[in-house]
Amino acid sequence: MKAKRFVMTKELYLKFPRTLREALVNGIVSFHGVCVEVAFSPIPVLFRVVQRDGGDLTPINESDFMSYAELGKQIKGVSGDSIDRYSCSMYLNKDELSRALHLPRKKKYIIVGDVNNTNGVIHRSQNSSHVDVWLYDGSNIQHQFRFEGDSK
Amino acid sequence: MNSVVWYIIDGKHLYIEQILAEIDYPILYVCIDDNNQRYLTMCVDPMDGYYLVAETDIETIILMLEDKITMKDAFRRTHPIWEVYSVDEDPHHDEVSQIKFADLSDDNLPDSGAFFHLKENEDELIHYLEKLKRTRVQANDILVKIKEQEGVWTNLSPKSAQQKHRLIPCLFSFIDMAVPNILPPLRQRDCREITKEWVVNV
Repeated sequence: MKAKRFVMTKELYLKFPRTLREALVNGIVSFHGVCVEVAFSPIPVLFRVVQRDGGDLTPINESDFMSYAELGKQIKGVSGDSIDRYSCSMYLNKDELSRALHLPRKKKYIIVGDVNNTNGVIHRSQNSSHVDVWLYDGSNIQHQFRFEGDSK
Repeated sequence: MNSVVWYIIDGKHLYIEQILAEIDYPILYVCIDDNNQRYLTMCVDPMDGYYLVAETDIETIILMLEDKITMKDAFRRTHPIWEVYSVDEDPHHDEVSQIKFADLSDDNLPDSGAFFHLKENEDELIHYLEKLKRTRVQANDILVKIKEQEGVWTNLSPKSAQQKHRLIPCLFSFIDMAVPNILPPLRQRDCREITKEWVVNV
């Protein structure tokens, strides 16, 4: 299904967390050239990797969905002026995450849940099952996810 | 080649060649420098900005992608390895130091026994593997040609020997720039030895 092109408005900017909102308003990043879906149908199954120190059993929480921009971290390969740095990565196909589970440093877990258009806006990759999600402020998405293998 | 410099190692600029695994960020990837030297690179801890950069060769990457060695063993075969602590986007600000594989904590390496497991639908990686194999074949062809030339040139007349002498700097340049990066270390040594013999024969 071809996604509808959507022109991002300043009204929509206001729905994002402060870090992204300010970066958009100040022109540090933009959605220019990104095929963003705003009014999309709910996606019932999306996978994401969360990381925990050994023995850390902290339940899924809001910080598991924070972008590296929100966390104030600069990662090589994710440019500071890229809108990707402000997104939360999810995957339609969990196989795409399996390799990363064997890579360091922290223990990595797959969580699974659903996303709908009240949570934020999305961009679906053309080449993989990767979905960028720019979550709205206070989306409370953590309540829609569970650790893979756990019953709902 | 992507022009963004990801790392600066011993004054060499490293650029991304291929991402091999990613989640929110590239976690395992191959970098390449201006001399076509390849580096197996891993983001160990994004929160600490801690990375490993390991000088490697095409053969090791192919073996890993074909599941003939584990991801951990791919790092074991590399030398040298650098630890990189990154504070911001500018690679000039990175803290870089060498470390031996034996001194690396298991926590900072891929899980023991974990293979890459390239999947049938990973077209980009399959193409990358094919590209590496083609480069390896080309390198081997060049080596065979050099060896053939060795036989021809041992019977050169003095005039031809002069011409040969003029070629030697070019051959050295070729070996220094291209061959070390596309051939396994043993073959690199072969190539250098052959060239040295030419010099002696001239």
